[in-house]
Amino acid sequence: MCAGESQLVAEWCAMAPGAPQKALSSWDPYYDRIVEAVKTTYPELSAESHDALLASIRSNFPETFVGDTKAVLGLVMRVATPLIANKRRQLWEANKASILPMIREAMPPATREFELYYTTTLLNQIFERFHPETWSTVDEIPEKLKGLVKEVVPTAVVQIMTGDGELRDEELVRLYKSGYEKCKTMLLERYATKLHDLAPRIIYAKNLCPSMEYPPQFAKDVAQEVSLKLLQKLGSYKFDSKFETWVGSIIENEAKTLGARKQFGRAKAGPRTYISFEDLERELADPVIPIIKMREHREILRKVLQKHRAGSIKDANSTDAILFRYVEELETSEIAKRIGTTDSYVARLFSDDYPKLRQVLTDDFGLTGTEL
Amino acid sequence: MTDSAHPDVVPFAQGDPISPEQRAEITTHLRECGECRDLVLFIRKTNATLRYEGRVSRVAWAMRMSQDALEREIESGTSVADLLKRPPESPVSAHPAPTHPLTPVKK
Repeated sequence: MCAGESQLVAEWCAMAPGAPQKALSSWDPYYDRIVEAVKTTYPELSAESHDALLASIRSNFPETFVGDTKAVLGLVMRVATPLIANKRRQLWEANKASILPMIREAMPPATREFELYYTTTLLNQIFERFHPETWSTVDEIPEKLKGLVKEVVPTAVVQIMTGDGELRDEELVRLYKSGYEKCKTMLLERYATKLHDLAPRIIYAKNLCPSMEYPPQFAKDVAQEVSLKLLQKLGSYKFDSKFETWVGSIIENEAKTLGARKQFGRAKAGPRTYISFEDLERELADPVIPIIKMREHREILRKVLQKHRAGSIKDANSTDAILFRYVEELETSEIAKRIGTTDSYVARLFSDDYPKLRQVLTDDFGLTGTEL
Repeated sequence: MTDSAHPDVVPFAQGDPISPEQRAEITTHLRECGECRDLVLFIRKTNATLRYEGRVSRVAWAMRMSQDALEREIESGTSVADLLKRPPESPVSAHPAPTHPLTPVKK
């Protein structure tokens, strides 16, 4: 009888009727389900990591555990997620220095002065693909890391550089937002030249120059306004579109605004004349309230409402409330019902938002209530 | 404008009920503040225009006319009563005799 068989016989004898039986560990009945759960959740684990994970789950396995497959899965995740994450972070910290020279060497000259930013960004990108738990042994890590650098860096370089070896516009905004103030100046310098071409192109293509204006001068004025806007609002670029497309939309808006201002003869910062108190008193005493007569001005009012509506949810609600009250002639209680709020909130919407509408009228179209 | 420098003139401009004290405070303020006078005027013109456009669009819809055609009729002085009497396909009248748009016809 070999050693294994004698062991088996001894166990059978121990389990004979009347003999005290060895209690099953709570782990045993769940073993298969745990192995299955590990395979399902982490299908790419190396054999080494798989065994280490099972050992860890076992040492953390509650003596009194009772649960279905879902509970087993939950337990596996609770133990495995931090375990794998910690190990990954530990191995990363131990090895990342080895790839720094490779990254530095692969970076184009234009990025050198932002080396700290780019090495950090690239290390983060490489870390996202760093999964040593799926590699057969830790000895593989240095080679695998080199492979990741070769995968990640060239793609990243293409994304941040132009064909001329300069940083893309979007990258300059990113760098500016990350604290490199000088990138704003770099971008504005770049656009000081670019706007001379971009502004007339958009103005002519969209026919935005008012008929009485000399087109080259009008395009120059628009470009100047856009430069100022870029200086003030660069931080509001959200990377939703190409930077140049975003600038294009500013050019279009500025051309429209400037066109309207010139058309209605208002100098941007000219002195404003408001209705006198006596004239206002006369207006208020008249039971017939005058409407806006000029069609262009009514069109401007529509644009003011549209712009306001496109702001926040509150702005959209207040625009609706105004239209419900005056176009649809609904009572406040009905308006409140339609926009899902209270009567007093509707009143507050009016109080808060009419001044904002007038502000848009003044800022974007250079008109006052008196001139409307 | 509801900051400390400017009282809330919106209910006043909209013709909403306000207390005599509020009215007095606003009137005193309007005497001094051009911005608020302009805001009051803006609110009144905006609201009157929106109300007018709402009515024009409803009348145009009821008469199966385009809003533009109805506006031209209004601008040329045609009353709603005259429009109602006219056959649907008649051309827009051309005589320039402006009256206040859509004021009730006096009988």
